[in-house]
Amino acid sequence: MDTEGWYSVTPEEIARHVAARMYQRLGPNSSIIDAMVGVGGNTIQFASVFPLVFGIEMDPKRVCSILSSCSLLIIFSY
Amino acid sequence: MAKNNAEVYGVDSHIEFVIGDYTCLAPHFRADAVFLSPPWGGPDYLKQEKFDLTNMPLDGIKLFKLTEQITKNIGYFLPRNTDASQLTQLAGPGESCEIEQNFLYDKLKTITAYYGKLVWAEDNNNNNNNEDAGDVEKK
Repeated sequence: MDTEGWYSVTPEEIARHVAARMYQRLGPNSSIIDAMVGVGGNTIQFASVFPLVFGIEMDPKRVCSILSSCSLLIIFSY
Repeated sequence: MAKNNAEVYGVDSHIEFVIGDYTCLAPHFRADAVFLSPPWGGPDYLKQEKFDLTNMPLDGIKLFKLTEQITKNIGYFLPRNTDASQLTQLAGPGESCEIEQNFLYDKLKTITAYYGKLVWAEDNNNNNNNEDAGDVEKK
């Protein structure tokens, strides 16, 4: 992960709360755009509640790192 | 391997990744809500008494206006010292905005400003044009 990525990552608890709350307000089958994915801290949490998430990111390297951070989440949550 | 991991976590079918600049792509998207977490410009943001949205690497006010072309339902993730009056003004005349303070281990970390249908108070038809800093996320 790059330096900007490290200090910009949203704490997991906050990201989870924001995702749950937004989905609650919008209702079932809603979709969301995560306009600046960054390293994906928010994107992952949106995906765990929203049926459809569009994640937009300028830097392809960051999208690779979000795919591997999925696996990190697995390790910590099991 | 990465794709396999995403499948194990059960999220890969939900996420469509798009590589590109949101400020160019925005007009081509439709969705029920948009979450904005633009770069704040490094840790120096805390040195300002009030964080000014126009001081971010991407002008935060222009970014919001652009996003309104997609939807009014916007979640805006920002520094804890962001100028609240700027956030309220973004909602527009007669509309409301809710500013949520996000706490972690009893420390105020960030704020999230909500607009459109994302505002809790909308259903309770309370006063219509001030922020409500009520909701607090606590661990």
